[in-house]
Amino acid sequence: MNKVMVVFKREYLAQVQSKTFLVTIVLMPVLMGGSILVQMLVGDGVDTKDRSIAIIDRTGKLYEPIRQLANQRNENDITDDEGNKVRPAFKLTQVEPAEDAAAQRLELSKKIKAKELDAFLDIGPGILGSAANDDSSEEVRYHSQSPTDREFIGWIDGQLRSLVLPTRFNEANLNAKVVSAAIRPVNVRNLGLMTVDESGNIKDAEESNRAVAFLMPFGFCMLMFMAVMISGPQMMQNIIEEKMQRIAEVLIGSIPPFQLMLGKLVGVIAVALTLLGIYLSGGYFVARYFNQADLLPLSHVAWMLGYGALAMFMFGAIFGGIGAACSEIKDAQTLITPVMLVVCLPLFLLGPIIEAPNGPLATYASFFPPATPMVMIMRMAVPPGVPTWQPWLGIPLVLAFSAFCVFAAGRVFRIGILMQGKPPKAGELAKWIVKG
Amino acid sequence: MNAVELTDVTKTFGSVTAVDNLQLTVPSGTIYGFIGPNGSGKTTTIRMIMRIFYPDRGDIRVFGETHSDAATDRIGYLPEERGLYKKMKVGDVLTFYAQLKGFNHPKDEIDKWLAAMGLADRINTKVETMSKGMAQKIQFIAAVIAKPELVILDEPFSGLDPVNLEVLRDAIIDLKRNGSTVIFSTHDMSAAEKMCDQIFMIHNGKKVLDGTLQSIQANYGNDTIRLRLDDPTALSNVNGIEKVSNQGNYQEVRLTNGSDPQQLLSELAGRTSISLFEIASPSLHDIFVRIARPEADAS
Repeated sequence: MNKVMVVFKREYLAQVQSKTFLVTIVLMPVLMGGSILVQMLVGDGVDTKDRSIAIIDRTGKLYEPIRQLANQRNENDITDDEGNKVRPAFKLTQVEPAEDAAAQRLELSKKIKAKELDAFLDIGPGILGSAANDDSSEEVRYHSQSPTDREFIGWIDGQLRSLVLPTRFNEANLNAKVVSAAIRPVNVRNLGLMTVDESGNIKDAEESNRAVAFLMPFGFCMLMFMAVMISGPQMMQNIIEEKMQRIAEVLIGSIPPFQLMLGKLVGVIAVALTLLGIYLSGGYFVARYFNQADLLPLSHVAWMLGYGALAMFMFGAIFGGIGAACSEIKDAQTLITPVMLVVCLPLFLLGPIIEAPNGPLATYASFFPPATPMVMIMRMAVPPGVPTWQPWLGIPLVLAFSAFCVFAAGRVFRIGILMQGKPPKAGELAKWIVKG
Repeated sequence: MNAVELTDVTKTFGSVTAVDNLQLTVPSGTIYGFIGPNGSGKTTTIRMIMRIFYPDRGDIRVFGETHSDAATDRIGYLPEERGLYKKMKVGDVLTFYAQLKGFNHPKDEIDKWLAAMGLADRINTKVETMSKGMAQKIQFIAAVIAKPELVILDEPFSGLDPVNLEVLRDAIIDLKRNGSTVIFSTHDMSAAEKMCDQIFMIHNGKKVLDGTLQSIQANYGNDTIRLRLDDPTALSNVNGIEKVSNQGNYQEVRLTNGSDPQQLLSELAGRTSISLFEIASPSLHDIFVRIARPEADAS
């Protein structure tokens, strides 16, 4: 059996059979399932306790229609199909306007504090007039202790508009229907491209979903970042452990350092891919469950797995080299920082790249090997995508750079593995790599 | 055919010359002992033979080849600093090391070695639960499991109790019987005396002894007398004695150059009764100390 394979097999089995791995695999769905369960238990988080609300109608004309609308809503709109209550009912009470508005509001505020009321609405007397006065007589004031509870205020806003506007139009001698039609909003639709189907008919473009256009590349980038962060430090830790447990010298008596590095890398990557595979298929089934599966084109997933593996390979080699140079995890921290910056670089460029995926910055960044996997996958995920040759050219670039990294890490490993104590400086590391 | 040949090999670390212009020939099929004080260059020499270190100057051949890599399936190596994967089972660890050497189906060999080491029932034991001595025997098996032609053992006996030491000695002698060449470094002089066909001593990076035990002892002559006297104080003020060292049950006397043992015998016979009088070559231990600590030895 090939020695690389022997190392790979041991590395993979040691990880996959470890308790940590099993816990990770079990824990993730439990956490995800748990959060879904919690959401199901609490519904969509609405407090269905009825709201008792006092209304001071200073116009004298609006309370009755509001009460009717509220009654309609209480009868028809607060239960689901099975008759379960999913929204609160509004219990309205009318309060006659008093001379001293401020004193009256204070009185009602005290009632709210004493939990006799949930809120009160104070409708100004001038609200129905067609001419704007711009004073407090046009105000509608909603007072409550819970500013984030939007149940009633969200509802009354729309209702008042539909009650008030026709009155204003009438007073101004305007035809409400004509005016409403004249001031309808202008709708700009964000669409993809027109296509032709198999039978030659022109097919209308699909609506571009801005959220998806942003979320897809962002999600891909984060997943890849996660994969690198799972595998790279793991690789480093494995090597430092082998140094600390004095296993390394036995190993390099049996296998060339390049092959040893390669085997370990492939093992660590396989572990990360196993984990990703489990999560991705989990994610896919969840997406299917919610009928969102076609948001994830299979070709993108394939490219992502391919580039993901390359990214893990490249950064795994770098982290491995750092591990070989250090004798303790804490020594590695200083050497890790610049590498982490490079890993995070595509995340810093996320905004500009998504806005102009074929601009010069995005294009150049996607041919800088350490950034290629993440940047290229981001650019590909934003429509219209990139010219076909670009991701293909990215592969040999990343491969060549990775091969160099593995080679360099192998050399650092061969020398560093027998070193104890202080980690080498960057200059010394460079010397090890060049001279061997 | 020589298993290992070193010609004019020098290795420096910074300003320290760890190995200085070393010549060494290890014939195939022999057991070759490396001795020397701590820091004398034994491990550096071994690491250069393993190609873990490259020499600054000189030529190293293993089985006639100046191989360029440490990894050769013909050599089994037990480094001085050795560890095992703690979470793995004994059988899995040994299979891993065998396969790394290209020996893909080592099951029978593993069973054989575990039995020979008295560990037959430990094949499914996790390494982390084993004692230090047991782990050391497993490490030894890992070095020899793939039936290498050359076995290099850096201090294989350190930390072993006498029973395990005996087991390991027998195993090494068996390796030679089966045709392997064995190089081992040790601080255990009696083990070196008993087991080695040839002994090599390095001191401050230079070769100071190289040859069979007999030839080495011959260089030092028969200047050592082992004595057991009723009255040990009878040795005081006797002419022709360079040094007396108390060995517990007996005393070892080194004669000055040209002194006659017979004369010593007759002089002592007049002073006390003698239950042991043996003319001997100096022990390897004695020779080691004479080289490594001449000033202390002279006092």
